[in-house]
Amino acid sequence: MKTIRYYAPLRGIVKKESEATELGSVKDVLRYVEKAYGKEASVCAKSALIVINDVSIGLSQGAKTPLRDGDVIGFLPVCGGG
Amino acid sequence: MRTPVYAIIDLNTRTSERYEIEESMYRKYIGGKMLGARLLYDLTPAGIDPLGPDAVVIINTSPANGTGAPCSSRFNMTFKNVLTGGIASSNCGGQFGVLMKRAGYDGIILRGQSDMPCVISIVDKQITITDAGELWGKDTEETQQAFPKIYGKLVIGPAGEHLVRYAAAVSGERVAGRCGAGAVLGAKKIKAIVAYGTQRPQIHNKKKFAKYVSKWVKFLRNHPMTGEALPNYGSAGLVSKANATNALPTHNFKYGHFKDANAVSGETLADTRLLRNSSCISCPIRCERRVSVDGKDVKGPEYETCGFFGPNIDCISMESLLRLNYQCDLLGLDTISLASTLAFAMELKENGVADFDVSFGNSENLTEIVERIAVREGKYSDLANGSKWLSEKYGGKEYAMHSKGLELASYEPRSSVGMGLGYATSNRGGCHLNGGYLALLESVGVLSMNALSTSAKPAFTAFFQNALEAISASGFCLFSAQSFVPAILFKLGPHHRVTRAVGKIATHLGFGVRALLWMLPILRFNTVYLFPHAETLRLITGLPFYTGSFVRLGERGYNMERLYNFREGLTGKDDSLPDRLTKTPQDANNPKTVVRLDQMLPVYYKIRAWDETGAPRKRTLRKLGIKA
Repeated sequence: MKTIRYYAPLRGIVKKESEATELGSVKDVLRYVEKAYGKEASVCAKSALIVINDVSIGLSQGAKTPLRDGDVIGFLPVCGGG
Repeated sequence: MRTPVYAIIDLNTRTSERYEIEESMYRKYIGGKMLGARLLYDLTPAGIDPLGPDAVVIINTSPANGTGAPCSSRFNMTFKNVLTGGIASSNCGGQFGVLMKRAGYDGIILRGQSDMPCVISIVDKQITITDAGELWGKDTEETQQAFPKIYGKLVIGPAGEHLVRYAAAVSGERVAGRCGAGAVLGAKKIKAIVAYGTQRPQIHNKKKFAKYVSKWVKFLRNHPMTGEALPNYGSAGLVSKANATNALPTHNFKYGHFKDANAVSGETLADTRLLRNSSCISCPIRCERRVSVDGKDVKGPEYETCGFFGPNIDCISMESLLRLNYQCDLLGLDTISLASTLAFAMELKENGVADFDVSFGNSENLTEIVERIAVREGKYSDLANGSKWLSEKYGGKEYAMHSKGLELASYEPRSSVGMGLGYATSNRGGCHLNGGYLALLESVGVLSMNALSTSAKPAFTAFFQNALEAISASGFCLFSAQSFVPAILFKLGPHHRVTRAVGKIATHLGFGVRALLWMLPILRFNTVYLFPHAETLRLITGLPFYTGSFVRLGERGYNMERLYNFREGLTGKDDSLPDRLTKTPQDANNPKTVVRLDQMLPVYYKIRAWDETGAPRKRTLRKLGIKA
């Protein structure tokens, strides 16, 4: 079992904080978000910083990164500051 | 042309005199930290004690302050850095600067030392100095409450009175935090400076200025960074981003990732503790967090505070973090230097070197320890001197996380090597902002240059150090510059192939940026998409500021500060980082996860037209019009 965790603004579109999934990769989750929640959610998810267990998928295999049991995939809003 | 009017205030005699800045100096150094550096260089001899009677403290404004331009309330304090012995500039978003300007002074120069604690009052050009009486000993909140609400205030707390070397000066709930701004006021026995007036700042072309300001505000509000991300999460939103890219200092910078970072992230803060967001004067971004501490509505923590009172000391209590943040504001302490010093002390204990009753993973006794540090009680007085001083007394230099004596900000540079170069070369010491803030392009922003490659980093560092210097000296908040990354990249996201391609190209654009630095004199254009600050400054002052000349202005300031550092004995040898960052890979399996200063510094010096020791060459100073 894996977990998808949503943060604002995506959370506001999908109307939930998290959900369980059995999907196998980041790509599969992105497809699922589009299918289940529509285009707006899909655009928002793709523009987020996607992390698996709090580590950016940019440091692993990007959208092809596989999901393993117990993994938590999160969609973080890109931010700034200093 | 109206040139800035300062007041020289002599604390020995409690007198003041008007001091008008020469037009040629104004044109070259404009205001804020740049003009401050020039004045400090001219007004003080080499080698003075930053806390001694000969020290000079300059508190000044910039042309944009009080004009109503976006994000333009930042005022500056320049003085000899208590922690590094070099230049210090500490910037603050409180109301004091705007009200000092309205009171008739663009800046004040403080000399001498009062024999009794005092309060300086600047009201409609009149300057009076009175005894502080019972205010001495009070916290920053109580002190400010002693003056009328409409006054701009700049005060110190107990930490400044006790000369804690990283004491802060506080204006409203905003803080001039770094380099010991509170200590230099405390050394002069100044408890508070208050200002009030009604004079309006002059604007050269009011009509065009108003039109441009409205265009710029619209741009900031529509940009994903300044219109959404910062208002929604504040700078604290960076905790999870830095953690995602191994750039979040953890366990005194031993690691770059903390498994429980989410507990102290901007997202958790927004979900569980945020009352509302707020802002400095004339700021459309509104990044400030308002939170509740013991039922009181107070300013919430910035990213640095979340990182340093969280993962860097292995703590996950948001409650404790908020309390410590508020406590530091009351006592007048810089959260970065304090928390980093505490992390160092924790590692000293872990290694069996010294015991200050602090340990990783335990924040329960920290409020009590911090209280003792602020008044230099017993053995805790050592902690009030900062991590460099501590490492010289007890050892552990390789993991005392500072550069030149100023504690590093909350970006782990082994996962952001350009930020490492910035820390090492920053004029005021280990500062991300004075260091060019490459972390935003390498690890925590939407763009991702190759964070481990040294390619192009020296050129980008020099360029952004100059640009941020000019923005700061003009009186603008640096957050207003975060809209320079095109909005389209935010919409595509950091993982999109176009965004990744831009990041990859940027990693190889060193020569392009170097060419840009050469071409500055011919870049005679202004655009709201790059540095709207240049056009705003042009409309306010009537001086010919364009993108190129604006960045060149910053280059002059950066070299001026460097010149001051050299005069005070800080040289290229001090452009360094602790061994932990330069010799020990963050990831034992990846030898690239170290900061290769040996590779980057020579290139950086060459781009800066400095000699091999890191000193500005005579011809460089001549080109920039700087008199040594």
